[in-house]
Amino acid sequence: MFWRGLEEAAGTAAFREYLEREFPRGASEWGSGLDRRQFLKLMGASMALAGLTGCVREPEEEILPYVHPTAALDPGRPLYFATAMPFGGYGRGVLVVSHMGRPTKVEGNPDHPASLGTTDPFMQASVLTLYDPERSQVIRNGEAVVTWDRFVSFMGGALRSMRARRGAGLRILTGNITSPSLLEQLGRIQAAYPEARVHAYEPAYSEEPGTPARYQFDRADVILSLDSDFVYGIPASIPYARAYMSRRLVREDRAAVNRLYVAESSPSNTGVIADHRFVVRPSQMRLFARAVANSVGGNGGVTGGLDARLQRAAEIVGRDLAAHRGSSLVVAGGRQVAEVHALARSMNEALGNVGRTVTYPSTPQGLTPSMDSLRQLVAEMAAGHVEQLVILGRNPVYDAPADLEFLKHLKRVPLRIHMGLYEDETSEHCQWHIPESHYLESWGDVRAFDGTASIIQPLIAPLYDSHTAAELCTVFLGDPARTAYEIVRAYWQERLGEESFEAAWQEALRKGVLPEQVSSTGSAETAVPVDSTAAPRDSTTRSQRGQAEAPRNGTAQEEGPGQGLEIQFKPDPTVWDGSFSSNPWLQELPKPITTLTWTNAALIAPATAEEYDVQNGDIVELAFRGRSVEAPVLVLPGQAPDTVTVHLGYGRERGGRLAAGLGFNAYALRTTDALWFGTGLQMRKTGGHIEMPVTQQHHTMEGGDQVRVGTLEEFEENPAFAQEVIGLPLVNETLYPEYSYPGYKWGMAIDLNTCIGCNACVVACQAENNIPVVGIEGVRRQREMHWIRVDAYYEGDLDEPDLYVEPVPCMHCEKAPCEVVCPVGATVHDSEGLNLMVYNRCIGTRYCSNNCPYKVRRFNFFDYTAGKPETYRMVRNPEVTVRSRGVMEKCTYCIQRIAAHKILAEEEDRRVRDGELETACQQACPTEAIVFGDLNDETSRVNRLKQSPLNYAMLGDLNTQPRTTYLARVTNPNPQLDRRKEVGSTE
Amino acid sequence: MIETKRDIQGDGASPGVSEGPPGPPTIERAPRLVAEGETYGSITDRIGGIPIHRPPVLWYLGLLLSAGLVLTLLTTISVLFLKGIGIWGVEIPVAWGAAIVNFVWWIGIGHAGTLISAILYLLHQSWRNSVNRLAEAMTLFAVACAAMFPILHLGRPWTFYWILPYPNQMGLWPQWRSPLVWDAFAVLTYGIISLVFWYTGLIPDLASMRDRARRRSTQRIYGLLALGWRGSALHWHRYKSVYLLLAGLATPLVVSVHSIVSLDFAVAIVPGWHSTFFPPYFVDGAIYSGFAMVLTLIIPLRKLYGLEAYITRRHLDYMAKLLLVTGLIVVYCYVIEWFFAWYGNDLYEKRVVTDWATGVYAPIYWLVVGCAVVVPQTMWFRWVRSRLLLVFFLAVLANVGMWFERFIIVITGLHRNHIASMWGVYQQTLGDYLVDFGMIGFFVFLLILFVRLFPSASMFEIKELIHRRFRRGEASESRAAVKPPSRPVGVGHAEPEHYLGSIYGLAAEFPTAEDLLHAARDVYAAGYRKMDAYTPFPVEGLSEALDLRDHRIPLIVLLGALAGGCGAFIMMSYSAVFDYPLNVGGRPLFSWPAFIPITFEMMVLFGGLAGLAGMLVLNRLPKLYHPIFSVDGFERASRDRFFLAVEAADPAFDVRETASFLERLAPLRVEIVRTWPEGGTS
Repeated sequence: MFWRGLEEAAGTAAFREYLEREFPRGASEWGSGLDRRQFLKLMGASMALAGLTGCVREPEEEILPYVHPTAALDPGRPLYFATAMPFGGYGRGVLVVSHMGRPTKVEGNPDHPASLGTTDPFMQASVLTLYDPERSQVIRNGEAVVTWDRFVSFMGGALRSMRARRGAGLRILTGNITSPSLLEQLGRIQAAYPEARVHAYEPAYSEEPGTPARYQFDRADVILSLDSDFVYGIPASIPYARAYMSRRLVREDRAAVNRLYVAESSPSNTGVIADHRFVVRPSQMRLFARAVANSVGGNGGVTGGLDARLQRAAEIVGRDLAAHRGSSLVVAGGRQVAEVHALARSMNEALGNVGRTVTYPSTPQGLTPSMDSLRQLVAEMAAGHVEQLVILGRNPVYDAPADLEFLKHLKRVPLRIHMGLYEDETSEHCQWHIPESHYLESWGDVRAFDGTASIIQPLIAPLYDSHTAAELCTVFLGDPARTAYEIVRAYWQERLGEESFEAAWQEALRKGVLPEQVSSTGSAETAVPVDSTAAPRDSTTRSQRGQAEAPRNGTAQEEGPGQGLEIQFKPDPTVWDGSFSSNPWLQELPKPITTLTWTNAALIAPATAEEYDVQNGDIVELAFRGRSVEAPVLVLPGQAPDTVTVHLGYGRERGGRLAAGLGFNAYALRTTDALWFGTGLQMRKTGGHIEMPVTQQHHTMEGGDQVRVGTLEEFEENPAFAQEVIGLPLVNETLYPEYSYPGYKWGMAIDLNTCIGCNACVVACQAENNIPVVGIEGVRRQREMHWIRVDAYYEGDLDEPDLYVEPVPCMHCEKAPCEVVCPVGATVHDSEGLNLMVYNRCIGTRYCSNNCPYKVRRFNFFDYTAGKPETYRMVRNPEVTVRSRGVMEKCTYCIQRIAAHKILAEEEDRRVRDGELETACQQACPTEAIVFGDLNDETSRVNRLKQSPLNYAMLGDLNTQPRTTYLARVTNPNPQLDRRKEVGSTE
Repeated sequence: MIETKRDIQGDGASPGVSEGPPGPPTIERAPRLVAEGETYGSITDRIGGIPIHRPPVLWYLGLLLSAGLVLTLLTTISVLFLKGIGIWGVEIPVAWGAAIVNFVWWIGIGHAGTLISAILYLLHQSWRNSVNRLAEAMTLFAVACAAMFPILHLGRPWTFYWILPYPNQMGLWPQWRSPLVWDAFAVLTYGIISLVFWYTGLIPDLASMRDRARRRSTQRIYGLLALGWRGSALHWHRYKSVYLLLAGLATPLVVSVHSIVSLDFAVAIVPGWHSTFFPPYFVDGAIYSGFAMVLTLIIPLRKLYGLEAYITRRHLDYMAKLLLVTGLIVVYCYVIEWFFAWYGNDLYEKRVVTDWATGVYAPIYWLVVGCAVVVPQTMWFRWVRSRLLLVFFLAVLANVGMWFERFIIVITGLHRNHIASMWGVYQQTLGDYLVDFGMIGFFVFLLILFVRLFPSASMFEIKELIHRRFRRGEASESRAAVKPPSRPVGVGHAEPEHYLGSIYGLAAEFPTAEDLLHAARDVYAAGYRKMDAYTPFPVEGLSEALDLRDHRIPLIVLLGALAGGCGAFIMMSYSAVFDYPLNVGGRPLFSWPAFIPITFEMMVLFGGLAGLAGMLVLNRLPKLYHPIFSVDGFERASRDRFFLAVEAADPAFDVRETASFLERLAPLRVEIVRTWPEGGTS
């Protein structure tokens, strides 16, 4: 007990345990190169982890399971708790599965408008971040590990003088915040320190925060997306995707489908589902929008310089929109310049869509983060006006535009306090770092994109010495003893009313959403002035601005081609702005369409690749506005020529051992005047080369017909077009006997009309089935373990291809080729027709994988679960075996869920009801493209889908009789634009 | 024969070749299968001398090099077992890689041995007698190498035995429809039958080694291994019978093993694998690479050990021609593959063959075409065939080509599978290369030990060749036999009967097989019935002359084969239909066609084992001591002398009378054989 450096912590039980354990966890992993900082981190970590050794701590406050209250914990039966995941400041309602107090899986909350019971990959993977051993675990002052009390007492001193100066020099930098209680806290800080300022920015939120337009995709017959990826990544992507897809359901011979035009420069998920996809360079987007507007009838403006083909397309699109007044819709992408937004709005107004398919809310909610706000802060820092800077959950040293030189100016601030999930690039340059609690271990509240408020309730007590932003605020308000729970409860007590509060509170916790009347934006929330006093200039703040204002932002785009390439920044589809850099599930998740994992790349068109004589994996130097990075090239058909798309979120230096060193930092090229687009990029081949970690190397079908597509016209002529393939065996044309499945007969149908290729199913499956991660080298060597994958194909013209996506799980073939070749009978059929994998019996010949024409079987080439951080064990689903090295594994149709529901049904003496049992991929799918059920039940949804004339078996010619079948995709092209027709006319 | 005579014309002119008859070039005469002037004794001295004398320096060098590779192999295998097969280049979709390529390659090499031993034996190709031993050893070691790969390649190698039926708590059975199970049975059977064949062939030579050994310890080891073989006429009779039956069994086995290996591929629905003509294609490829390997080994070995007298230019010429023939069949197979893809018009097959010619593996494909198709065509020319260095080089190339051919077969079907999204590229890693070369080291290591420890050519069968030559009247046999010292051995000074033990009989020693044969006929005509002859090789007509015949061996083999076959079929049917019925890929429970390969393999295995066991039991072997061993100079019975023994148990036996009768037959000498010799055991 003579440990001088460790303050009073030395006397705690945790420290004693540390001493007794002799070696902290992970100590051996570092070997001899353990420097002082790492040693301290380890010490802290082991102390923080000490709490984990016994069993999981439940939060002290009362948390309530979703809808069905359970009096006591029923051992072995998982509970669902409703909470909400903040992402980019907006809440997405989730139901979290808790196994004996251990959150293991995130599902969507059907009652929440941003989830509708489904999820996106970020929600699915967020549970892994909770257990990330790389999260910051201790409060740090310089290099010393200190306690919260120590921080509070330090701040007490620092704030006394600050209070006296009315907060002059106190600045708070946050991301987007919609939390009503936190906003109230910030409002109170503002009141206590009138001279203090709150600044907010979001590096990657491409949809305009504040008052985004709300769309009613289900009411629109013709939709034009101007670079809007409305089905992926934005706060409303799930409900939008669902609403859109409600108009793409082709059933029997009834097909009243909408039509989607997408103009974009880099393939997105929205581009995949488009009926027509126009490849438009960023600099031409405004011209294209003008041309459409001209055609619609409005006054778009001059369109000089627009490619003749696009001009013609724009005119046809405009005519089509005009033909559907009141049931059409123009959507502008969040990254687009104000003019495009203004044009979209004016078109919607001219078409009479406002109020029908689109509404423009007037009241903003929450903060209105902007890059201007950040720029303002930097200017003040540079001027030496900032004395205390509190950074809440953001990492500006890494993700601020490079021209702001944030780090340089940060160093001039005397007191810098950082709160975040990770010790990152910013915390390294702050005197104080406070670990932030993960949403699954903290109390809070959050609003959805439409203002619906949810209470965030923790499922587990904080794993580490972490706090919430609200708790940090209490320090400034002189009430540091107040817990986040008290803050949230007190806030809502006021709104829900005193007398019936307890019942209303419990209801809110159980349902995961607050009632609408109290949900509406309160006055306190708008009271926080975000300091962006300068005129709104950047592209993230553009709401309600008219056309007159528009060109101000457009200078970069006006430069036109001829000055090098155009660069386009996009948030990464998996690690986003870098917040998920340390999440292995998301790192290994193939990015939609490119299937790239673990890194980012300079995405270029095949024509550009030819011009610069580069191939996949060649390293190029990208020089833009005096800064340069080196990046590997990935050739992407459908990318606009002379345009380079780079994804943000990579090139981390800190933020976890997993995160650092992957990819290149695109932020280093980003400037405030070219936040999303810019011209004048120089690309130079360096001669270097790396192998790109992609999970799919060939993106053409090479004559195959695994994805079957027809136009609406073709469908109406012959609804069964997908089934009429030459060489297909007749039904039951087989020499083998029929096996009967008298009980249940499970099957699956995947609707290619509604799949958006978002990969939520992939992460959901990974979380549900304890699927290991193989790392970048594993992916390079084609050993990824995902049980379901989303194939992406290009068809047609290399520059303007049709894009198709197709989720592929195990097909559970009736005549499974894999089973016949297994020498030990480790894979056999069960009485319900499932193609089982008996791990214990498997000796690892891998013959089954060879003989699987769908290649959905995965092999444990190494012991992928060994050597992984201890905390990751907590995320595992106890219902699913963790596979050992040397065995094959594959999709089981979530047999553990089948078993659980059969037991439940048996207890109640009934059959499993249709829809009650969902596989993990099905449950996650935002557009309900995956349907699973009992084929013996005549009325089951899956049976109805399989009776559709569109239903077909992939590789049906092999007569494997798969249980998983697909519904062919029906597109609705404009006859005037149909490329195939054009080709025909020239013949 | 005629062809051969023409082919070898101008042989003496070839540079760097020292052997062969240096006759005038105008005389068209093929080199003999055994050089002129060789005698029974010189064969034993030369071939049997190799394990006995100090080996050449090159041998030590080879041992060192190969032992180094074996160590590498062991290290790699250790790492493999500790970390998993991820250290190899295998992946999804190409889940089978170099291990399977090596497996097929080694098994293929293992085919020439049995082919030479069994098929050429059945076809009365007497030239095989000089090379079969080495070829069989090569087979055995190649099968040992091959058999390791399927185990190494398992994800969990320690569970390899789960593939076989064995009693277990869980009541589990193998899945009989899997070609891998057939493969396990086929390779196991092939390994065992090859061992049996090899060992059976080795027994008389081991006896010969026992009789030549200079050190007591060596003598004991060879003695134990020889099981007390004494070259008895009746033993030889049964031996020939079982050898013929083994050859009969091994012949379909050779064809079946590689056919079953090919079914590993042909049964799968993988494009490029799923083909009905794979079995003959694989069998021929195997024979082709096997012959190439035999040539690769024999050409340096005969030089190194001076075996030119027994493995002559004629042998090598025959094998080069066989290489050409099998190579032409390989060419035919390649053409047919293209034809099928074109004629069948199957999308997946077409993608695969296009990929061969133009894809990432195109350089390898064209290398295969070069090595296995183009280059062997040079063997049409006598000029090429007569240049051993060139033949050696061509044989090596053929084997390299065949390795890569298997690479193309295994990899390309998988990497261009049905779904383009899952196409991938397979590359070997360091781990793969270490095992590839390590296994070659292991093979060479075993081979090097073999030539050091065992006679590397079949001595008794070469003696048979000489004997046959005498019988054709090409030479006088007495020339082959070293003239004995004319020491008349009478029985007159025989010891009193009560001296030690009882009299077993009388033995007469003859210098040639012809003399023995005449004597045997005379003795039989004189009414003696209990007698036996002891010869260094099976002398044709001897057992008939002595009326020592036994026709039980074929029956035993038949019964063994029936028991094995029926047992296997019943076991499979019972387990799949009654004991543990499972829905496997929607196939019928009683999938009898899938049971046939194992039924066949078990038939051969049990037939072969029954034959060996029957031969040993009927011959009362092992029997390390027999009274005949006490005969003075009997050790030459395994070298170049021929003994006739009349046993005391014969009713017509009388020591004096019989002895004088024997003396009249002009033996070298006659000796009394006692059950207990003077001075203890020999």
